[in-house]
Amino acid sequence: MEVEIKNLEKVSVISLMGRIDVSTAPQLEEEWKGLMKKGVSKVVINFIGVNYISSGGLRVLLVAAKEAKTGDKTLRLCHLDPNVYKIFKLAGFTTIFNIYETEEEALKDI
Amino acid sequence: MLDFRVNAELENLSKITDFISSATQKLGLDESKGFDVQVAVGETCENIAKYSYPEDKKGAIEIGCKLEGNDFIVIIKYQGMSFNPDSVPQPDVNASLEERRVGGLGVYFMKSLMDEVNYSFDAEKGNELVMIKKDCLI
Repeated sequence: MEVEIKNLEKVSVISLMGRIDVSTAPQLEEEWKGLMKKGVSKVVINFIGVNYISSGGLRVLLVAAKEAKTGDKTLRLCHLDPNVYKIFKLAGFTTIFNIYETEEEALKDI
Repeated sequence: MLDFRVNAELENLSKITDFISSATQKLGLDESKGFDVQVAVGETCENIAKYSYPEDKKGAIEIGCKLEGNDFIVIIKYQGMSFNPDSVPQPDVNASLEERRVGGLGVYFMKSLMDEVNYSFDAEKGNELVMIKKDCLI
C-alpha cells in the first residue's frame, strides 16, 4: 500500500493506494497517529487507489473513528470504489462514517 | 481444479488473493463476484495464518478452485489447530459508533460473501473448509 499525506490549511488528507489488509493497515494506523500527535483536528482519508480492503483495514478505521469522536476531531472518507463500498456497507460502516464521492465534496463538508 | 499452496504467513495473503482473482477470472466470474470470493478467502486464510499454527512453525495452506455447474467452489485445506467459523459470534453491524466493538468481522465476511461455508475436521487429513458461491455464471 502507498500512503500520501497532504497538509492543507486546516485539514490533512491521507491518500491511499493498493490493498488495505492486516499486513498493510499498520501503515495507515501510524499515519493517523502521527496526525493526531501533531494536533490535526480534521482529516480526510481518500481511498482513490484502494482496490481491496479486509477486516484488518476496517479495524484500524473503526479505532480512528472512535478516537476522532472522543477527541472532538472530524474524519471524512471519500473515493471508495464500488467493491470497497460494498464491504463498508456489509460491515455497517456506511452509517458510522461520512462518505463522499470526491475529495472536493469531503473537504467542502468538513 | 486450479490449485495453490503457500505457507500460512500473513505476508502471503496478497499472493492468495491474487491467485483467487486470477482463478475467478479464468473460470468466468464477473468482477463483483470475484471480489467477494477474494475477500472471503483472504479473511479465512488470515485467520488460519494467525491462529492455526504456532508462530515458529507455520504450515501450509492448500487452496483449490473449481466450477460445478454455475457454482464456484473453493476448498481450503490446512493442518494445525482447528478453527470452526461457526464458533465465532456475529458482530452487531447495526451498532452505533460508540457501541461498536472492534473485531469479529473476518468470519462474518467469510460467511456473508459466500453462499455456503462448510467446515470439517479429520484426525488424519486435518481441517477442510468448502466455500461455495452460487449462480456465478449467468
